Amino acid sequence: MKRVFLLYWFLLMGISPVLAQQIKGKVRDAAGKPVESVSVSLKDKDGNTLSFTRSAENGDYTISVKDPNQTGLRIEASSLGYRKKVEEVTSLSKTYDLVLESSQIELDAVTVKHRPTLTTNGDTLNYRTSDFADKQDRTIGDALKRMPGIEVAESGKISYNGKSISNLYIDGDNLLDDKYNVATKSIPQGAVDKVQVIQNDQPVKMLQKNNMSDDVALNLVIKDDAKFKVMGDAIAGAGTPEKFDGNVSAMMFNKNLKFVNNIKGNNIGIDPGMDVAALNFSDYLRRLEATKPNSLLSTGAAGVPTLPQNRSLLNRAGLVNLNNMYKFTPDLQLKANVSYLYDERSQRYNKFSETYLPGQTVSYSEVQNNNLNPQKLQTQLNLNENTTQHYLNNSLRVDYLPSRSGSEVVINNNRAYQSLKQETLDISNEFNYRKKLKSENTINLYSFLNKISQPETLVVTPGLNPDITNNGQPYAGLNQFLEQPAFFTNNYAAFALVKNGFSQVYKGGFSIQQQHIESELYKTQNDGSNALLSADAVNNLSWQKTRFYTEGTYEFKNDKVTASLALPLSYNLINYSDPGAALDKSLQRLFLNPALNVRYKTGIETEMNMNYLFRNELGGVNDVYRGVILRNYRSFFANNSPLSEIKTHSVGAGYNFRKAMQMLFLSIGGSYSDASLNTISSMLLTDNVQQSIAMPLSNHIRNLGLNVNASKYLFDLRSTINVGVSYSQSRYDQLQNNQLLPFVTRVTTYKAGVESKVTNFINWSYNATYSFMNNEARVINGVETNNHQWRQQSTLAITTVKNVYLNLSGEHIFTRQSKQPDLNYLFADANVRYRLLKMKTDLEFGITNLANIKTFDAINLSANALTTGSYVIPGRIGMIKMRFNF
Amino acid sequence: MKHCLLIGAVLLIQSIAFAQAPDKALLRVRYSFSHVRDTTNRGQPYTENMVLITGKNASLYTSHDRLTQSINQMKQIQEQLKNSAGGPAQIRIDRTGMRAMTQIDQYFFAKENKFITKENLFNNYLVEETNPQINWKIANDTMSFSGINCQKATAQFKGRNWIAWFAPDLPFQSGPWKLNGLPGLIIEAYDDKKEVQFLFAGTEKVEAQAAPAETVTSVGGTVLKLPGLDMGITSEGEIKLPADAIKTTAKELDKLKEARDKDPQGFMRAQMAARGMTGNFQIRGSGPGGAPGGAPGAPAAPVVNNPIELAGN
Repeated sequence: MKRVFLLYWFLLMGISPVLAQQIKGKVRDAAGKPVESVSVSLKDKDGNTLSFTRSAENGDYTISVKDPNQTGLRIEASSLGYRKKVEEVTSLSKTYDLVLESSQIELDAVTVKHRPTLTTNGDTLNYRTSDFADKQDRTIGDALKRMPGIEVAESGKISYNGKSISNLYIDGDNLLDDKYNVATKSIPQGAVDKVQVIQNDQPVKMLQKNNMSDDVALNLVIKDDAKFKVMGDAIAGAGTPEKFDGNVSAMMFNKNLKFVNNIKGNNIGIDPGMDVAALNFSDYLRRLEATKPNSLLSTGAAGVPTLPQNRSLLNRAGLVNLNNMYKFTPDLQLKANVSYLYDERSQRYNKFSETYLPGQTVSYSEVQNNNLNPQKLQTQLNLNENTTQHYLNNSLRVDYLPSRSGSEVVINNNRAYQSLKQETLDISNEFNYRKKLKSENTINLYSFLNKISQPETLVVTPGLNPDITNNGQPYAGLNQFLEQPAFFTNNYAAFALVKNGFSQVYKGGFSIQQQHIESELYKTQNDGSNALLSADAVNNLSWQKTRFYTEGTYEFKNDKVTASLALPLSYNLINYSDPGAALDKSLQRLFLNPALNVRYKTGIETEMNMNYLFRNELGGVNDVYRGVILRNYRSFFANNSPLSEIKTHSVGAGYNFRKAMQMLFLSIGGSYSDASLNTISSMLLTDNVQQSIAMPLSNHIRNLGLNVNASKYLFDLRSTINVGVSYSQSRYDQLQNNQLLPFVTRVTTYKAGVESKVTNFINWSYNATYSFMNNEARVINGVETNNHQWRQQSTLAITTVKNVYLNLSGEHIFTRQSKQPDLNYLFADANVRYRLLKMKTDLEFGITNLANIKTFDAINLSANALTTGSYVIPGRIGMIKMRFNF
Repeated sequence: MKHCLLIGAVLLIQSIAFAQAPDKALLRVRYSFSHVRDTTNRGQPYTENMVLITGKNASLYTSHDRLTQSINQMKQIQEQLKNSAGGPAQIRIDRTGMRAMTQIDQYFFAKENKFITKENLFNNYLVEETNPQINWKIANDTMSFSGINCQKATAQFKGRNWIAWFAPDLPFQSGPWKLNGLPGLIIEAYDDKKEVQFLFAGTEKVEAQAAPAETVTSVGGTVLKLPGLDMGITSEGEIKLPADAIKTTAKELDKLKEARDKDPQGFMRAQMAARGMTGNFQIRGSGPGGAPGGAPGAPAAPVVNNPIELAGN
């Protein structure tokens, strides 16, 4: 036994010098005297300490190097009374004698007034919730707003250092996809231990090793004691005049079972549909490479500009939202997201609109009184298997969206009634499978199938504009029927070769898009007889687009640079025909749409990125139908042009800077795009109707955007401040009443905000936005309009005596428009809350819109059109609410 | 009684302090110490404000609460001596509101790699321990504590998994308690169960001001030296072992404590006699919790079922 041990020992002795190399040297001061007790650390290129030692009495030090192949190593020596010395390690066989320069010992007193701290680890940044949350904060969404670097938009969309998050994970699991508002609004902040920002998030485990992702995701780390029970709350509120608000939610975040289920309803202007709004919907569509047919008909109602929804919405709405996930194994999960939204909205406004054209001003006045009743049933069933060897993801979605609207309209003193009925059924399945082969190469199979039916009916009574529609004779009405059934499939197989940070992906596939537009526009005479409005008021258009494509993607990644070049080549074949309109066309195009992306890490916490993209796009079925469609009571649309073709060059660059220690975040971004189009929509405007026909004409749309955003936590003031400036410029052409006018629109926006813990019992937040918009027709004596808008919001949250919380908030909106009177609004709200700790119940009394403002005047500006409107908004509302937590 | 005298005498003979070079105190680091001593009562951990006085080489870790209390006591004594106007000094120290506090000071000398604890039982007794060699693993996590950049290090030590945050920009090698040996001052440390925590509570510069003297001169001219009242550093702002301290071993010190607990008054008389002081010493307990037999510096024993050191190493 002993002998074996000895042998082993000798072996080790023999091997160890090979395994662990050492760096040796001596530390001296400027006079050449050895310095003892100096901390000597070996660090890697990212500044991580690999090992450390202390110099001996004679100044000698020895430090071991575990991985001799590592490059970029350096030695750091530091001792009190000396300046830090850094020496690059070039060769392990060399000795590194370090000479320290003496310096003044400066030790400043540090007072601890606060504890908020961020911890970083590689790509992950941790915010401890308790460091940022205020006593009054209920949900994690409230606390997120106080975290520097994180921004929560009014829609609930979260971004980190200027970039929208791709996912909100709950304890590492993606329960909600991009419909994460329900999580931020329901999960109590006290249940969240940490909020993690994950940069370069790669949810697919088998791709994590060679991760090329530049997505940012947020992860909510749930406290251990909150993991094993069902959490939830129930809110019941009643108020005047005839107001209610209710909410019951239950959630659980177990290892195997996670759910967030909730039922809510109100008529106080809160849109429960926000909870199920897909916040990254455009990214989703881009991934599918699918264009879904737009619904074409509407009542032509205008939204309320500049006012937040909870001040302007007159509603009665309810939502059932069920999100459940079960994990069979740590790698296999099934998830179901089902929601049903019932919404009734009423909307009343009168507006006056003017469009300025050289030598002519088209104007109309309009009153609308609308009742809208959209409903949404959305279901998704998702199966996901995610291991280091393979990945399977299948999502089946069924969405049913029926909607009814009734609208009373008075246009230029002519009264009419519109009734709109829409019913969309959208069924899709997305399948994605990846497998890692023995050679570390991967294969990927993908399939997407989608079927949509979308019938729409618009009825306008009585018949408007008889001069152009019925030879000047009064008539009973117009009936527009429209159906756009669509089918789409996209399938591909891809093969990825990965070697030393260099990966190549080759992809081949095809997609088929089949769409129809069937429409008829009837007019009903006063005697009840029906006839087509005109011979061209029908469409029976069939469209098929077939695309075969192949794509090579080349990605490279090392410590500093991540670069990818995608070269997709596609063959597009489009056939569309409408026998009634004697239309039968086909088109073939070969497109190369290259994209280049480069990211360069300039430091541990700084990064630069740059991208270039060239895209060829072809218009869709909505650009080629020939028959007239009545899109709302005053708009007739048709096309008379070849298929639109758009070629877009776009470039963008950005710089991201972070100093997590100092809690400083900065992002700078710029982008420019130039799209050239071969068609333009020609608008014929009269006081009563607008008619649009797409015409062949080559034109450009050029967009420039610049933005700078910064966020910082001020330790001394216990405040998070953020500032931002953005500038955008668009240059485009408009063809109106046969006059082609080049326009330029410039918008500059400045914003600033503070979230401050003034004292232990007072929290103050302030946000201000100033935007300046300028529209100019670039011709001699062209129209020019300017619009300035100020918006300020402030909230004061005070903890008065024990468990009594007072909230005061105000919002100021100021608009100045050239040649118009100034508009000035001040909204104020107040709210008192009493917390019964033992009963886990909050009692709340609140009044919104204290000044009882019932109409809101607004100015809306676009190119050469100016709209001034007066909107009915909910007046003062008083509510009593009871909230119970369990 | 005899027994006590004997032990006292034996210890006195050994009264040769360690010859550690004094070191200039540069920084005071304060920690909020909390310790779940009784696992059946996790909600109310033992808490105390601690302070680390550190120089380039030497450091002293002691109770900040006790230092504050000493200053108050010193003031009381000075007041009473003044009022007694040279007559027989009857000194009463008001101990109401006082609570149990850490009575042990810990000295660490980086260069000599020595770790010495000082305990006061009327005399200062020094016990040298082997300096714990902690096998720290440095992680990549970084965090800022009130603007001080720190890096995370972890180690298994005395039966607990410790997490320490040290400041590479403050190249001291010291830290709270027995935690040291990192390439930077330990700003905060806790075990993974958060049962023992040394939470950062700020730093202060060590001003070169004279600390209150340990001796008090009464109006009559008697010079009284009061043991157990010290400011941790000398009036010159140096960290050094008390010159009058008695070197001993942990075993012997335990014996002495045992003797004290058996016969507190006899023990006290013996100790005072050894210092050349005679008189009638009485210790009156105060408050319902204070045991009448408790000697100064011997707090009523709380329930401890979860010591800081769970294992030898």
